Amino acid sequence: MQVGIAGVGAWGPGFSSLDEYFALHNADTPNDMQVQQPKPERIPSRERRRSPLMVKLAVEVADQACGMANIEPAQAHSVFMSGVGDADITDYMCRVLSGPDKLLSPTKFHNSVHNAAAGIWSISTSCEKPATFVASMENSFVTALIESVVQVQTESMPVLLVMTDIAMPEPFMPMHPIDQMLGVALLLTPVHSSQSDAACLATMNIETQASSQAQKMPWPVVNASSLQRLYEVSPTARSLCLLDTLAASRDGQDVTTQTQLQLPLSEGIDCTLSIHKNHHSRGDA
Amino acid sequence: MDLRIASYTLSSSAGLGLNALSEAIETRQSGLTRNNYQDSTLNTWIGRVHALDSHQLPESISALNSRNNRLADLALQQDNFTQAVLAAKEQFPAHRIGVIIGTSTSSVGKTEWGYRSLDENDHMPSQFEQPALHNPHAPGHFVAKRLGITGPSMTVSTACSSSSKVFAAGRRWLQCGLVDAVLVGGVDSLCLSILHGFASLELISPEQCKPFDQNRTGINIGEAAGFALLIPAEQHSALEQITAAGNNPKYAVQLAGVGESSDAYHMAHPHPEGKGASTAMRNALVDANLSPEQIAYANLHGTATRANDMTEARSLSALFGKQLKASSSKGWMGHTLGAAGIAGSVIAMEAMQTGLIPGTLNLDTIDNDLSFPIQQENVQQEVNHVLANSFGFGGNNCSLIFSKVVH
Repeated sequence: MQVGIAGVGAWGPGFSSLDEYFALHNADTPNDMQVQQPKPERIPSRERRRSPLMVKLAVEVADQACGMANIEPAQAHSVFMSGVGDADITDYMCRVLSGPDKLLSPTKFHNSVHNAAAGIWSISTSCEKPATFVASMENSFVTALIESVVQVQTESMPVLLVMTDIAMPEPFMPMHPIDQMLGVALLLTPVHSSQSDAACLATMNIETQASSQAQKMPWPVVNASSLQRLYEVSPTARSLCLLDTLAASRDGQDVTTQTQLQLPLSEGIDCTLSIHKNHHSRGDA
Repeated sequence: MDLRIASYTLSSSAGLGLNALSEAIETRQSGLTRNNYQDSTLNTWIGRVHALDSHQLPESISALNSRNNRLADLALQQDNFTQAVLAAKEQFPAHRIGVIIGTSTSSVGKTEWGYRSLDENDHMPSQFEQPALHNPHAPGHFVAKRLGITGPSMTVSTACSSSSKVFAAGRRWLQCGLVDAVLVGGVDSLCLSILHGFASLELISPEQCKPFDQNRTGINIGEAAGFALLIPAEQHSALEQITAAGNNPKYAVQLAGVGESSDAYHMAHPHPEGKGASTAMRNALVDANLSPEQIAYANLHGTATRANDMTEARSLSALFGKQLKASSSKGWMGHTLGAAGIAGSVIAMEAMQTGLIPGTLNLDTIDNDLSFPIQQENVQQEVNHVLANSFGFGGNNCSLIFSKVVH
């Protein structure tokens, strides 16, 4: 299966765009980079004030990806993913529900559905195309990527993949030790679509094969060393290995245009991503 | 792609498995009972699966114990569904079978319990610290583990449309050749988050829900789990073997059409003109290459909120003529949320098998303001094509069409 990567949105510790993420690669950055609060203008201000962090993070990176791809958001199908979901709201609800009166905020309740970001994105962009939310624990990134590529393939439509995991409240920390938010969005397009493939950052081919029982595939190391720990615990941050393949080569060395990643999709299947970067793509600028 | 439902099952408060469901429908016996869930003092009715109280997971998988996973486990054992999956594993390698489960609550009931006994460090007691339960993918993970399926597994969580969208996703996986077979389904169980969440929206009924009734008073929350096994028809011999091992329906069933849409209107209210709902139904009809007149029965979302009932009726009237029998089955089992899609799908498929179209239980006085006639009484007739609707928070809509395969 082949798709174009036409746009990327990124937000996390020390970066608030894809270019800023790439800038971390060459820099000697401390391991405790702070992450800014996203304030996506796409959501009308009244609604934005009531929106959970998870929703704001998702809409921010989604908008970045559509902007870079120069695609009208209302045209794209969307796949939202979060490995752990909005634990802030779960934390709020469970605390209220462990008390005697159990009176929940109606706004918080309707924002507690896992497709809250998908709903607010569709409302903010007047997008009537199908939207979904998917998760698969530690396999969430690769599963959501496959789901998105499958949708591009079967629907012949651009698909927006939006991935977010936020810092966990204390009761979740022993199980999901994610201490900082990170969001990544990818705008994926059919290849040979009306939009010229050359406008894409890269084309990506995905193949699946039975995984070797003998050895578990190690995940590649992430380029920005300050993010390695988060990369290992946040299901969304696992997508950074794909972003790394889009980056410029260091110090003006020869640009590697073709990169392969072999990643686990499930207990029994591995996935090979072959990323062919376009010469004039953004990362080389 | 000619895609078959090789086997299917449903368990809810209206009964465990298809025979119990059919009997409840035929005798118009509701599974709703007065709310007695844990320490919830809400004055309402719930669709509780009482058999869950004594159902235990096998020791090997007891670490994944939650009400939701126990419900999934109980439902997998009905109608020879597990036998059908085992037959599929004989036909295909375990990694060529996929799992896609819809849910809205996952295992959040377990998280609620953990929060009741947080220690001085704000941590749950060790018996609650199961990372595989406190995340949205808990039911998909459980089903894959329980059945030894090692192919891709995914949980879809788009509120009340979740387990309709699993059919759409499963079909896409098969179209791309990602897998040879997909187990789809939905599991949602009673928890305080949902009961008190809907109470905060003032949508919880103090009596049994009355979909489309002039005197409706809101919804009842129910729990349910249901599954279906999707196999491409071109896999003739495998399909035959797997079908024979499962519930072995009288007529083969095809997933004929899917339609998905977003309202882009409001997080908790449907579009007033039923725009997204109409789009989903229209897309499903186009996808199935069927005209509206060919659909004999529609299992409606029919939650018994005024907003849902009005907009769903309006969207029906824009597409269908009065020959369509349309009803809600929420009076039998309540609104089962993330399992509502699979519940409606199974009820609609069963109508094709038995020729018994369910009416709308508890509907006494049809709301005068409805723009489409709603079927009140059960009716016997031949049914070849059925529609099942599910609409969720976030304006997330999915309609499915199933067809009887006539040789």
